[in-house]
Amino acid sequence: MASTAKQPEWSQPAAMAIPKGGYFADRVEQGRYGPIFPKTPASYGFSIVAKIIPGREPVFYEYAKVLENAVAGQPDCLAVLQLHYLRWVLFPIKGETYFMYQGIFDTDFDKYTEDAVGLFTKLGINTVFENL
Amino acid sequence: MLELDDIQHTPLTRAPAMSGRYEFLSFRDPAGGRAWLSAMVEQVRSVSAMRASVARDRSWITVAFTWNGLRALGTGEASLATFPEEFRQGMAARAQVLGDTGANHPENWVDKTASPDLHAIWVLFARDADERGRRVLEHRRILAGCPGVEVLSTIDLDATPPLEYPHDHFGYRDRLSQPVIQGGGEEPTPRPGGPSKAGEFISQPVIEGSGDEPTPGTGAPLKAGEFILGYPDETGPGAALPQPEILSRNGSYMAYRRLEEHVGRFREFLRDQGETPEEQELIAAKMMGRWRSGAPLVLAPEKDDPALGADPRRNNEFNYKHQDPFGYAVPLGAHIRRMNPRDTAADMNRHRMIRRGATYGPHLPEGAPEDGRERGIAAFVIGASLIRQFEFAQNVWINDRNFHGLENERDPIIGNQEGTLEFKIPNRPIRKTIRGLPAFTTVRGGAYFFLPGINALRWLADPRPG
Repeated sequence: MASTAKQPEWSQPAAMAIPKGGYFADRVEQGRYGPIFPKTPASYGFSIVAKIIPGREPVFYEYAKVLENAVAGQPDCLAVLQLHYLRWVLFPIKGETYFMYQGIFDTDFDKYTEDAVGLFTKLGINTVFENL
Repeated sequence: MLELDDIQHTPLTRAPAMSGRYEFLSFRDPAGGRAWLSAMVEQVRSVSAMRASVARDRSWITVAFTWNGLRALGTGEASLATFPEEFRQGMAARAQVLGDTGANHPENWVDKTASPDLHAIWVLFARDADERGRRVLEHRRILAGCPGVEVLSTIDLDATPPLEYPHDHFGYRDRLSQPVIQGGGEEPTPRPGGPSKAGEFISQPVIEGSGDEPTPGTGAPLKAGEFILGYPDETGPGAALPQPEILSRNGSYMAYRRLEEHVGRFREFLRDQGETPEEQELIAAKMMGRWRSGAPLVLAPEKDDPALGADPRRNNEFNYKHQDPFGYAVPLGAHIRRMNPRDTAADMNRHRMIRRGATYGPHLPEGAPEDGRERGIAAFVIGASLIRQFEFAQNVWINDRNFHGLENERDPIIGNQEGTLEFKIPNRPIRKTIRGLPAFTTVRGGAYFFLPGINALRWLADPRPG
């Protein structure tokens, strides 16, 4: 019997070029806290590149360890974020350390940041962004 | 300790009313507005005053203000700037966030609540229509003595038959699940004063210190700061208070929604979807997550159990994660599963809401053809944060098409429906998918209000606030 099921969206490789500024001017989606970055074929996501406050670099390494332990202890502790992928990169420019954050997730940007703040507050830790 | 003698009665008490009226006001002149408010301060009851006199009182008044209204009363710009962005913008400006598009768009609202001239709401709940009539005349006399205070629109509220229990025009029993607040002083259900008003959909928390006790399934009492400004909330000391503190302390935010219910369309839909009355009732139950009697599908999945629906000790005692993880009883997209996902959502306690309100418009008897007259629910969602409570529910629970991974659904009762979405009912061996779900409700009006405490009302009524 031939399948009449629609091919799922993800079965077709796709790419999307996001314009300068980060939004499509003709279809800016308003979230509760402001415009939401558009949903791409790879779902929602955002990147942050920022200089780390001098001397705070060790915080990032400690923080990564805290996350590793949290997930090891409770594998679904980050489930609410619906993360596909989260990457941190620390890199030097002219003797100063910069931080790059990239996250890809299923919920919209507002819900992700709200959930993340709620989650980390509950775990008793601040977000690393306070060291930027 | 909650300052029950300063908090307006509305968030923590429920008036035993069968009738009511809302009047939407504009202040053309600050002195006139303050004169009106001075008269109101004498009539508005605090929680403790209301509790002391509820058995003999016949009606209850509440007043609240839009951001433009606070300005129209003469509140200074420095103070106005300390209120949260979403409140300053107002509900109409938040249409996209709230899913108020198409037929629900503020351009189509019928009561002038989308106008920047909307400044205040006068809320009356009364035991009966005679008492309402008396208070409306009294209010008219007060208004006549307050130059520049204009009535933009009004709406009358009445419980819809049968009057024995609260329910909406679709026939769903209401007010089944209440939040409890920590810290405040009186007996739980049932309320004194007979049957209370009809017309509220979603489930309510209980506040710590409110004196209410949760019924089984409601969850532990919540910190008062989730609903009242100036108290610790579920995660800490509570949100920053708008300034000056005398204005914001013991206040709350209220989101008003006037939601038309298309009863004829709803009944026709049920007839189309089910061949027998039993099948039709099951479709109605699947969309709500409860039988119209109030019996929850988790506890009564196969057939209705009216005794369970009417029993506050049992009708709310259920969860989803273990009792119904795949939605075979309550579909994942059903109304009550969206409005209160219980143990299947993160940070539930940060998204609880208090509801007040009632039904409006004429009853459409079963079997009668649609008469084209507007009827529905005119209700308030009360909390300490519009963006985290009311707007979250609208945005993430009601109108997110991919809630629980459903991909092509919105809330089947109050979601924005344009006839293009689905409603999936898990079943064995195969699920039922209803395609092209029509809109059973339409937003006809709405606004964001700040509900000040009694001292704040006095401060606002003072000739030189801010």
